Amino acid sequence: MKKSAASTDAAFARGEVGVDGQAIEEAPDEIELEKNKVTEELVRGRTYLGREFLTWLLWRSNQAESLAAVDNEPVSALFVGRIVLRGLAGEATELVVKGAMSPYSAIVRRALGDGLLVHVARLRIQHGDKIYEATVDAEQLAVRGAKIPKVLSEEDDDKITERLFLAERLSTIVEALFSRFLEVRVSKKWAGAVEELKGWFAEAPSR
Amino acid sequence: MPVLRGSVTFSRFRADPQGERAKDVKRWAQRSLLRHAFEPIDKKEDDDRAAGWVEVERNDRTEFTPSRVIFGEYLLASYRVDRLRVPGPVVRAELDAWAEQYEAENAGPPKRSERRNQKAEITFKLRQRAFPVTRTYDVSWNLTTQEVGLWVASAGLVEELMVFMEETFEIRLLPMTPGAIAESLDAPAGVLLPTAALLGGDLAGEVGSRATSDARERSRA
Repeated sequence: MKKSAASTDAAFARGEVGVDGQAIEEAPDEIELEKNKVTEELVRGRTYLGREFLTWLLWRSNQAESLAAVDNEPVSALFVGRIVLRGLAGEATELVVKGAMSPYSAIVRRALGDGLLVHVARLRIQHGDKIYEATVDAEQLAVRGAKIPKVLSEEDDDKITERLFLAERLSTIVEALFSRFLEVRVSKKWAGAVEELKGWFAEAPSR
Repeated sequence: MPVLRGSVTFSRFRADPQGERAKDVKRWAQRSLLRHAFEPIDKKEDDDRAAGWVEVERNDRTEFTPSRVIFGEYLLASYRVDRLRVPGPVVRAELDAWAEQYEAENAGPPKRSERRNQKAEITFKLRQRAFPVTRTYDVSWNLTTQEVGLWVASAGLVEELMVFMEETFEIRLLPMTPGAIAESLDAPAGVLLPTAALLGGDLAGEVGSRATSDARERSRA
């Protein structure tokens, strides 16, 4: 009995409870905590640029054949399989959609229209006659689980350098696509592109 | 993630050499790797972890002869990490058996300090018998384009490997992230703030102001 009274006194002294023994501060608001977390995540290392890039690329890949050029060879991209969207607030802050053509589906476009952006996507990239496939994330632009074209060299050392060359080529292509995005992003064309993007989201058939 | 087979996973960096690079790249690479070569865990010591460079695909070799490290314009090496773990349940089982025997012999349970000493003894004994778990992570560096690939998926390991690589070769590794690439453009600060029209919701403004203060801090740094 004495012990519990002492601990209540101590809590009162720390300002944790009032004279009635009830907690003064409310438990942290879960929604507020989540908002802080997602905002932090978005600003860290300018992740929002990566998300805007992947969202822009999704829209462009639906329209244009060639999105950039590397070594005078055109680069085209197609979103395939799983896509992860993340947003700031609202009822849902993350949406994972799977399916062969799911990245272009109405559900994804509606979510994009509601303020979610692409955070992780699987891309099939064509560069000249070579095809690559890779999962790219908005935060690091790192390449995950990529498939690169078949190595043709026969000698062991040549096989190694060819494989490394192809991996680096994939990295260069991702960077070229991102640079293309940045060109538009820092230009006056960006405002118009955003309008067109929003128009594309809005065109998604309703339920 | 093995550099030589399977699917490809890597984080991208650009190497920025600090100071002058040796003219003989092959010898410089060998010397640098040798200085930070892998050394196995000494079971007599307290360390449960050892890390260092080994040759790619030959995780017990640390000669780093140029033909095993330089492939065309690429430098290739593996970061080996060994961990020694004494399984907790095995220690507990041996300790319980000892406590049971102690109680039978002494007509009472062991004191807390005796139990602690015995636990340390059992752990030491099991440690001598334990085999370390070995993992290797590959690193590729194009010495012409300065592009570095850390063939690792986990963020923690990327950071550890990045620091180790910087120490080994006296370079700075610049991550090729969206923020870093955008920063290299020298675009006016306001241009690269988040696009409110895409973010939606009233939080866009908050993100913008946090991004601005973030950019200010970076430029001050």
